[in-house]
Amino acid sequence: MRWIKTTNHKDLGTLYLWFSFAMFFVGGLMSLVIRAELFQPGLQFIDPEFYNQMITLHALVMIFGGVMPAFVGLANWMVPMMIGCSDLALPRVNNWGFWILPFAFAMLLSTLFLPGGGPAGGWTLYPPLVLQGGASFPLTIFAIHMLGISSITGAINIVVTIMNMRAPGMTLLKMPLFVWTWLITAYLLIAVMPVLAGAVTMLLTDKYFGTSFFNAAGGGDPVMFEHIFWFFGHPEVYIMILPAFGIISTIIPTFARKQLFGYSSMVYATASIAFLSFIVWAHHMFTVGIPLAGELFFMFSTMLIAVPTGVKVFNWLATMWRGSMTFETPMLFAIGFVFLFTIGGFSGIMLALAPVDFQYHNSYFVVAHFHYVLVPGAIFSIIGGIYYWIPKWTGVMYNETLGKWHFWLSAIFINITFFPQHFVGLAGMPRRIPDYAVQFTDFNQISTIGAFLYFIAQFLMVYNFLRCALFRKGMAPAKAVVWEGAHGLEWTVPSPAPYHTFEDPPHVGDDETAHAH
Amino acid sequence: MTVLPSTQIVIGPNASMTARAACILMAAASSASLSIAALFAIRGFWPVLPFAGLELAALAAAIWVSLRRNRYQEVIRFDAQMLHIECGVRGHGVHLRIDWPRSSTRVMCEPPTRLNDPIQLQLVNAGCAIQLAACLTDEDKLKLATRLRELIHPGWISAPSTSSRVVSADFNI
Repeated sequence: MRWIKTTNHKDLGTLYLWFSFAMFFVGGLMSLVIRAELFQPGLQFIDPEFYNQMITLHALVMIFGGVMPAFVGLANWMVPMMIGCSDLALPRVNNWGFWILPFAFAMLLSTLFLPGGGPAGGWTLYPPLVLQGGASFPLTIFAIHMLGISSITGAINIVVTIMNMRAPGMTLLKMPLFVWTWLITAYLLIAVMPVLAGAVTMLLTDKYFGTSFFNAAGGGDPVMFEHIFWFFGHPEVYIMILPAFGIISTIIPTFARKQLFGYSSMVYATASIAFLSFIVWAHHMFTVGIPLAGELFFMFSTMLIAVPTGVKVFNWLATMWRGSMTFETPMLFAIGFVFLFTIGGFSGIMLALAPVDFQYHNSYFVVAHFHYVLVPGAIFSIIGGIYYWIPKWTGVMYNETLGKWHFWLSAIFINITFFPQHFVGLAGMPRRIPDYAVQFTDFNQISTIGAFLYFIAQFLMVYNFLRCALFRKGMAPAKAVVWEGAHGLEWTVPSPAPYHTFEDPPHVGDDETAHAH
Repeated sequence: MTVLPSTQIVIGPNASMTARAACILMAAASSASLSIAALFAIRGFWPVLPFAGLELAALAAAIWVSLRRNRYQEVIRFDAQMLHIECGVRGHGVHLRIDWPRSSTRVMCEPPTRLNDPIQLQLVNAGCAIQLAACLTDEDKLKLATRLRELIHPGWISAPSTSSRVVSADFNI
C-alpha cells in the first residue's frame, strides 16, 4: 500500500520513472512493429489499418506516456532537492496526478481490443478522419483528458513548489537550470493544455452531439482544428525538450569541471524559446493553404527560434571549452545530445523554410527530423539524467563499463535508424504509409535493422538500472558528492538521499550559486 | 524553525513567495491562458475557455493554499515562570493565546496512529493540550521537542510532585 498511498516526492518520482520505462517499452514494441512492416515494400505482417493504429498509439504512448512522465519523474525527484525543500507543495495532488496515468493508458491501450481496433487517425487527431474511428474514439478522447489532468496537476505543483518553497537565499537567478527549465515548461503546460482539452472536446461534440466546430457541411472549419491542435502541439514539443536542456546544462558543467557558461543567457534563452513556441504553430501546416503573409510570418518566426537555441548550444560548447573534461556515461549522453540534437535542429531549419517545406512536407524527412529531436534529444537527456542522479537515488554506483557500452551502441544504432530516413524522405517517401516504392528498400532495411538493434541495446540500461534499484548487494557505495565537479544542494545530502531530504532548510549564501557550476 | 536570542521560538513553514509575487505569477499565467482562450472563443471555439478557467482556478487554489500555509505562525516565548504560546495568521492577529506555568508544562510526542501519518508534537498542561509544529517534518518535530524540553526543564524540576511525569514524558519521545 505504501506505493499507492505515498505522497513522498521521491516515491512518486520513482513511480513516474518506472511507469515511463514501461511505456517506453510498449511504445518501442509498437515502433518495431512499424519498422518490421517497413523492412520490405508491400504488406508483410500487418494490415494497413493496424499499421495506422500502431503509428497513432506509438506517438501517443511515447509522448504522453514515455517522455512527459519521465521528465515529471525527474522533476519529482530533483526539484525539491535542488531548491532545498522537503517535498512538493501539494503532495496529495502529486499522488493523484500520478495514479491517473496508469488508468488513462490502460484505457487507451485497451482500445486495441475493441471492434475496429485502436485510434488510427494519427496523434494529431485531424477531423474528419478521426471522426470516422470506431468505438476507440471516445475512449481516446477521455484518455487524453485524463492525461491532461495529470499533466496540469504536475505543472501546478511544480510551479507552486518552485515559487514558494525555495530555501532561504535561493533567489530565482540562483536556481539550477533544471529547475528553471521546469518552471518554464510548467508555465507552457498551464497555457496550452486547455487548448488541447477544448479541441478534443469539440471533436467529441461534433461526433456525438451534432455540433459543427470542424464540420464543413455544418458551417465549421476542419482547418481550424489544425490551427488549434498545433497551437497546443508546438509548445508541446518544447514541453518535451526544455527539461532536457536543463538536464544537459546540469551534466556538462559537472564533467567539464567549470561553471556553466552564460547562466543568465541560458535562462533568458529558455524563456525566449517558450515565448516563440506560441507564434510558430502554422509551420506544421504550410501546405494547407494559408496566405503568403502568414507563411512568411511563420517561416521567419520559426527561424528565429534558432537564435536562443544557438545560444544554448554555444554556451554548452563554451562550458566544455578548456574544461577538465572526463567522459563518464552521463557526459557521453550529454555530448551525444548536443551533437545529435543539433542535427535535428538543422533539419528543423530546413523544414522552417516555407517553399522548401512544400517538398519535404509529409515525407520521411519530417519523421527523421522529429525523431532526431526527440530520441537523441529528449530521451538521451532522460537517460543521461538517470545515469547522473541514480547514485544519489540508490546509494550505489552503476556499472560504468556497461553504461559506456550502452551509450555507444545507442548512439550508433540511433543514427543507423534515423539518418537514412532523411534520404528516403528527400527522395519522396511519404510518412504513415505501410507500403512504399521499391527504390526505397535499402534505406528502409538499414533503418529497420538499426531500430531493432537500438531496442536490444536498451536492455543494457535496464540491467544496469535494475541492479542499482533492486539488486544492490556487493555494489560500490556512492559518496554524497558522487561526481567530482558536481555542485548544488542535492549533493549536500547523503547517498541515497534520505526519505525526508532536508531536516533544516539549507541556506544559499550571497556568494554561492546553487545552479550548476 | 527560528530560535531567537530571547528564548522565543517562531515556528512557520519556509516560504519564498510573497503575496505580491503570487499575484504577479497569477497575472502572468492568466494573461497568457485567458488571452489564448478568448481568441479562440471569439472565433467560435468557446470550449477552450472553460477549460482555461478551470485550470486557472486550480492554479489559484494551489497558490492560495500554499500562501495560507505560509502565513500561519506559532510563537512560543519563555520567561522565568511562564511560557506563552501564540498561534495565528500573519496580518490577521493572534487567534489563540495561551499562558502556562513552565513548571507544569510537558512536551509530548505522540507517535502516529496510522502508517505514514506524522508524529504529533504537543504541549500539555493540566489536562489541556495544544498541538504545535504541524508544518514540520517528523525529524524537525523531534528536534524541536528536544529543544522545548531543554527550555522548559529549568522551570519544573523544582516542583517535586511532577518529577515522575518527566519520565513518562520522555518515554513518549
